[in-house]
Amino acid sequence: MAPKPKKPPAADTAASEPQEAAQAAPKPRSFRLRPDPSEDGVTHLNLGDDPVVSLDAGETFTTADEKLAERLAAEPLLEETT
Amino acid sequence: MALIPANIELLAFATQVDKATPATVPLIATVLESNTLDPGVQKITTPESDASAQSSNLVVVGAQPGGDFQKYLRPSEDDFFLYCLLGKNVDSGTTPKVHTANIDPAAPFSSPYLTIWDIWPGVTTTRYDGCRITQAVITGQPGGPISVQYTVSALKATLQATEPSYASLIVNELEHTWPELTATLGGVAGGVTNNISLTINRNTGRFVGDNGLSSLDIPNGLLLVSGSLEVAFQDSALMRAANTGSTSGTVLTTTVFTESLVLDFLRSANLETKFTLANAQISNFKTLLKTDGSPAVSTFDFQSLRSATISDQIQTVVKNAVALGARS
Repeated sequence: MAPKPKKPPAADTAASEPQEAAQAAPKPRSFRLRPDPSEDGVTHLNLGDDPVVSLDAGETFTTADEKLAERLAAEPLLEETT
Repeated sequence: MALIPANIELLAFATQVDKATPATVPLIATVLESNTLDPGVQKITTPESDASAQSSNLVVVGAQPGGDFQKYLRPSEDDFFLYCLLGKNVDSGTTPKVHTANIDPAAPFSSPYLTIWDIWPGVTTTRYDGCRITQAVITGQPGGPISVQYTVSALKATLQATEPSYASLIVNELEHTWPELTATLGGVAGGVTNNISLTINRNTGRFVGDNGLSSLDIPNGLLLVSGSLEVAFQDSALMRAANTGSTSGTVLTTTVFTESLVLDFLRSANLETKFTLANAQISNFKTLLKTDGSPAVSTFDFQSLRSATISDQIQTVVKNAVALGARS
């Protein structure tokens, strides 16, 4: 059986480059404290160290750091804004 | 030159936005019982076979800035320091403002970096950058105030820094004292506790790296919450528990007895500092014979139990009128 022809590597690389470039610049994600209707609701949150996330009620924290964004997304006191 | 009274030294603090960026303005300042913060320049001698009749000189081989400072526990002050120690803070409520601090389960090795100004007013200020509060030791006994000693590690020290404004940042408030304590062991506040010591240790290390006399980082290690209590010896329940794993046990077992421990310093509905260990493992239970006929007391050590819910190890709740958002 004749070997399958190899794909032209140069064209393959060229095709994937714009996609990689797009992945290297993640979209910033924003988070805020979940609204709490009770008077005793959460008014402020401090998290993390480098950077520190310090949020008052009503404030929004935006980050392009994917790892940090994932961590904030897992924080029950925060919600992601659209 | 005039002599300087030795009771003027104080510390001012601000959280940094990240490890590398020192803060410019302090957010809180505190007066002290004692302070050993120091640039920590390490000097050693390096003897060699140089045929000299004189001892070798000192050489500088590094710097480990940091030390301890001890202060009285205050409900309007220590919410900030306990947050800095534990790494996560949640404020809720309005009157009082309730500050709940614990380890962040999503980033259990994290805690904020601080800039600390060690101020001798009008004389000199040493600024420590990239500091972490690495340990707190809370102690108290009848007839006394409640003290807390914090340990600090810093990345870098700068001498003769600009003295910041601090006067309005000092909290003017009575310290917690022994009569404000209720110790609750296993859900029972029996009024039998006569001495407390609680240590919250982040076991923070230091990675020096090749950064001259600054360090690369001061990473937190494994959290250890431990301490000791002295209580009246009125029955054998805790003695049996500590040795058999059960308050009703008679036979030694391999079970380590655990029960909850709450140290609550309550001044009023709006001023309180509370430390909660969901499960304290009891060890080293001793009851000493005393020939003077005074009441028998037992001493024992405790260590917080590992938990899938890391805030079970230690949670602090401080109530006051200060929004921590103004200090962080």
